[in-house]
Amino acid sequence: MNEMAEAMAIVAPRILEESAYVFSEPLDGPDEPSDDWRPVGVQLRWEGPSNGAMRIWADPALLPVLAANMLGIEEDDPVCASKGLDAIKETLNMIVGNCLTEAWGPGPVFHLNIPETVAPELFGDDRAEGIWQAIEGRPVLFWCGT
Amino acid sequence: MGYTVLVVDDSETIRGALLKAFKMAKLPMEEVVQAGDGQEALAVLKDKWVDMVLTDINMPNMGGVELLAAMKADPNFKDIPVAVVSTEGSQTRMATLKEAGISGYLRKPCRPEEIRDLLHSVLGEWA
Repeated sequence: MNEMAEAMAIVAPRILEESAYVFSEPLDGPDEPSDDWRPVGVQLRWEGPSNGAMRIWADPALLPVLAANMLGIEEDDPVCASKGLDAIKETLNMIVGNCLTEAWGPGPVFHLNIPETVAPELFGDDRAEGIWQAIEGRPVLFWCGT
Repeated sequence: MGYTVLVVDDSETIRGALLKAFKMAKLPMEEVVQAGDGQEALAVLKDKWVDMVLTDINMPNMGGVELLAAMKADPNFKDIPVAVVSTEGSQTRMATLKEAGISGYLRKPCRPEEIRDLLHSVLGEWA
């Protein structure tokens, strides 16, 4: 699983830039959100030579930004609000697919499940182990585990 | 006049992003038809002729591999080119899909020029 965590740190910023034209940078400890932060969480599980899951916890305000950039429309377009969750799920899908190749090479076949939203209760444990990034100035936590 | 393409993906955002890419690549699109999974795609194909199908692999109800198999088994659809647009990068999986008859493969996220090159290679450049 360490391979996937390392791959995640490399691949996630690239996918975000290529798919949604947003740039990410490491978020330092003092800038991490407080305990009352209420992020949106999405998860994707995979099976194969390695089984695991990746989760993204994102500030809700980031979701319409991703949708707008992926669709090529303005952020204030009502479509962005309705497509934001789908946009971050598909972003996660692209990150996981590319991370698996980065970590395991092009040979192994993995089965990727459908991305899903996750219960907010999981965030507490994830924040201790995940990687914080700032995307468009908004906090995002990437977590990878089993 | 131009290409008529069926885009099959369970993500509305990805379908929209592909529509955006068609425009950015200045591809001559007659019509882009959409389906959310393989079952919907087969229903669309029964009513509408398309030049090509672009499909994701992992989708609910019926995925891209099953869609490809169903099309190749149907005399009405077996000659329609199918290309896969997926996050998966396994060469083993791609070899299997090529044996099953795909006409091309693009990995998400893909650039407009990659989509243009795929359509040109499969369908030819629109004169």
